[in-house]
Amino acid sequence: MDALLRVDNLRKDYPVRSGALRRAAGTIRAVDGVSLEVEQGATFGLLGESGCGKSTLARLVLALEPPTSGRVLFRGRDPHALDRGALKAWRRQVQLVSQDPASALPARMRVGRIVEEPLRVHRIGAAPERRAHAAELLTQVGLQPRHVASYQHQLSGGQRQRVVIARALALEPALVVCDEPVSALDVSVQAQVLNLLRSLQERLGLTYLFISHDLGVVRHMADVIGVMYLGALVERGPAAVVYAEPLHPYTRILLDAVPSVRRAGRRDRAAQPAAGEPSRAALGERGCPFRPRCPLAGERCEVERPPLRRVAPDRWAACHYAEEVPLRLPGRTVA
Amino acid sequence: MPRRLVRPSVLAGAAILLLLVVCALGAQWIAPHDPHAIRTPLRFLPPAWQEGGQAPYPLGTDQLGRDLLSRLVYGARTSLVIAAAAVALSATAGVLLGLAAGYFRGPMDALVMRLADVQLAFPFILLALAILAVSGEKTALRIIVVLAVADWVVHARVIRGRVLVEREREYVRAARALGASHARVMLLYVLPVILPTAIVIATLELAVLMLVESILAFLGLGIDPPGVSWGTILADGRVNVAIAWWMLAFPGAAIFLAVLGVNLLADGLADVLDPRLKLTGRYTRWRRSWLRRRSVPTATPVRDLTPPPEGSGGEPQGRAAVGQEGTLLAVRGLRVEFPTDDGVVTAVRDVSFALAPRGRLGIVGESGSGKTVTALSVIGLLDAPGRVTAGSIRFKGRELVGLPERQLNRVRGGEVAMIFQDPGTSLNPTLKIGYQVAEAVTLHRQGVGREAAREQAVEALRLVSIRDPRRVADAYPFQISGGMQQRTMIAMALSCSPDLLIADEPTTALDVTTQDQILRELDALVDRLGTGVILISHDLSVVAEFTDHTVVMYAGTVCETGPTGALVRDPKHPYTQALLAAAEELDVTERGRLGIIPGDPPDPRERPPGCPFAPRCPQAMEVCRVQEPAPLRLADDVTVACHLYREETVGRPAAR
Repeated sequence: MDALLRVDNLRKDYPVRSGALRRAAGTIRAVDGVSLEVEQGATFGLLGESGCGKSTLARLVLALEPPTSGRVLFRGRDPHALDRGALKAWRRQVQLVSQDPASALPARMRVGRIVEEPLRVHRIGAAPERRAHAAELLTQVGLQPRHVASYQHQLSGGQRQRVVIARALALEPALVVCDEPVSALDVSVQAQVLNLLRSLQERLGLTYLFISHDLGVVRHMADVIGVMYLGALVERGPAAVVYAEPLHPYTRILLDAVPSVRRAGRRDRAAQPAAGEPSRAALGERGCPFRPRCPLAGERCEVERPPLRRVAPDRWAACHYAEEVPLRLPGRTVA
Repeated sequence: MPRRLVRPSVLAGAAILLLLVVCALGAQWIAPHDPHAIRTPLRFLPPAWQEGGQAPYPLGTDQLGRDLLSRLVYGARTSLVIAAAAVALSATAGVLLGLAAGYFRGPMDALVMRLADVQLAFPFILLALAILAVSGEKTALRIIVVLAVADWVVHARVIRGRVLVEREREYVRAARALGASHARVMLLYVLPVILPTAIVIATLELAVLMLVESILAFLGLGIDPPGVSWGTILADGRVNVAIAWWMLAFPGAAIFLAVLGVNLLADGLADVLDPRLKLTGRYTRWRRSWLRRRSVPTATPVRDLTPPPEGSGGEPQGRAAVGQEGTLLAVRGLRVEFPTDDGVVTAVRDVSFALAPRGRLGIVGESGSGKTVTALSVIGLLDAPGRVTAGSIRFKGRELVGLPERQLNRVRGGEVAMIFQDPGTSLNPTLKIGYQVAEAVTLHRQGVGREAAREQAVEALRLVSIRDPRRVADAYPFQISGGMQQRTMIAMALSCSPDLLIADEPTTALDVTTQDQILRELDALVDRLGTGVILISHDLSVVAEFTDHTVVMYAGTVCETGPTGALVRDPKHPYTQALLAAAEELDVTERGRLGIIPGDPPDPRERPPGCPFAPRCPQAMEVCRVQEPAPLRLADDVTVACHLYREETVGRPAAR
């Protein structure tokens, strides 16, 4: 298997401090033993709701924070094991496109300088070459060379996100971590940016770790998806199959919760999904963390935490009853 | 030159500071006499205009016959140089330490902040004595050091606070991911952002240090003679005040004016140096003030304890009464304008829609479409200077436009309620949930006891499907999830059974599963209570599932209205078609290209002529770029503002 990125049983705990002396009172497990592989040239879609740890996972993959345990392997090398110089060189291969372009771009730098910045940091090329390269990158993402002189506040949201993408591409990375890349954009602009990411991938052979809470966006972009719940992957598989027939009750509930124009008119009040919200309280105990919200929860789920196991070729799910999910939770009918 | 700098107060401040600098630089040419020249016969000359005063000594002389004006001019130099040097030193140290402390946090932060604590706890005067008095010589340099040591804390603390916020921003993470070093991120990325703050603080501290310098001199810790500062002149004046008031009055006035001038200037700088204010102008500032408005718990019916005047004019119809034709709310030709520096911005133009009692209306639009402004106009919460300049808003047959605030309050209180996107900022963080809900519940019912109110609050929470209402009632807002917070807001909004609930992006900040639950609950609740709803969203799918009637807004105008089912099945306006295509494609397609709407929604300040959607419209014609399409009624409540449809084509299939 030709995996560009491997994440191996990755864990990240944050200390919880309390009291006047801010003593460590315990830990929050933000990422809980996640393993995944992203193949060269493919898109791995990481789906999850707020607080599920997907952005923490992104920071660990980008080596912006050290993991508590586990490994990140990019082309077989763990960035967390590198010294400072080697890490800096490593960063050229893995870049970030983040959520809110207004906040991701420094307010007091011109666009040209922003796009040149990666080249300056890594001392690539002389000044005129860097300028030429920056203009070229801007063209590549659908902006005009004249935009080099703009400040970010003079651009629209979509244009800003294009600048963010141009900056990420400046170092010709192999992997781009896209953390909610279109969530802050207007609906009518999202498709432009998604199409751009797609065509850049085809043209440059990029690999994406694509993180989003938006099922539609992930479905559209990803080849393989992973669904995260409370820090752990609960399901993993080829995108089309997972959407068509989820094997974890949580994936089912997520899919059913997405509003759809095809259900215009009154909502079907009969099919009530499991109530409740993610609760970390269930994490400390034995048993399945999803149990309090799960319509299938049985006795076994109280005592035994289901591991992420192979249910079918290419399909993984962390549920004792994964095989029964398609039958017992058929999902909402769509007219 | 930024317009906001050209204000009389700022100009006055700049003029004073300029005068001060001129005095400091050109003292030897400006001062009429040598400030140290002693003329014993001319001791205690009063100012020239007083009896006994002499023209060559306009402000009089001191106890040694030295010319007071000359001394003040030279004193300006000393005072300014000492204060400026001390500020430069303390600001540099403070900014760098604050930057490092805020950026690195951890041990570095602890070290700097403990140092600051020690510094603040240590009596300043003792420090000054230690450095100045004990060692004997009171040189300018030593005074500068004393002032700087005392002052760095101010800079460090403010800067650290700013950096703590900045370091969490995306651009810092992005720069780190590029491989930029900590030093580069701090100096090239974070520093430029906090520099304006640093400059404003430094200017303010310049004034403070000028004062402190004179206080030191007054206490005998001023610069040694023959050095002369305003403080030392003041100290001389104190001794002789009984016989020579001018020796105290003039240096006092000089210090007062200088400090005032510097403060005025700092105030102006603060206005201009905030990049957001500077770069986006007032329109955005107002937008922000709406956002701030949201932090006021407006979902709580606004407090109005006066009982309605029974039958005394104003309100002839009872609560249950409904306006003509069974309409709950009728908005006709609404226009909202915001005067700005660059002219009048029309945020909403010619918006019309109607809502039947118990009806569900959705307003769909992107940023800048005017959907929120429309809603705020209905509830009368538009922030000045935004105002409704045309049109009418009739609620249960009563005109709300131009209604006095007092009566509007009553409408807001009991009959119209509103909930906002971010429930976290709409709840008071210092009060328990139960208390806040109880307050809303009992607002319009007099004589409810505390216990009863609490029970009703718990009941209201149970109504919005909070499973453990007693526990939640005892919690503070930050202790419950965003979904719970929004449920609380809904409970409060519905507590006095309003006839109309306006929900502005109520689930946008929430997760999809929570959104689903809350929309379902809201759905069932308004059904049961018979509340009419206006749901505002950028998400056509949310509106489609929840409403019976939809208004699609673009650039402040309505481009299409119609029954939701029909609108989704057969959208008429190219913008609606494109929105729908975007929603549907993400619903079904795996991979492949998405159909796109090129370009961006227009800036409300730069609205294109003709149809606002024309620049992005695949079907735009000549006429679209010159003439704005008027709303045209097609069959069955469907209205569309698009040149593709004409009187004669009505009834035939839409030309696409």
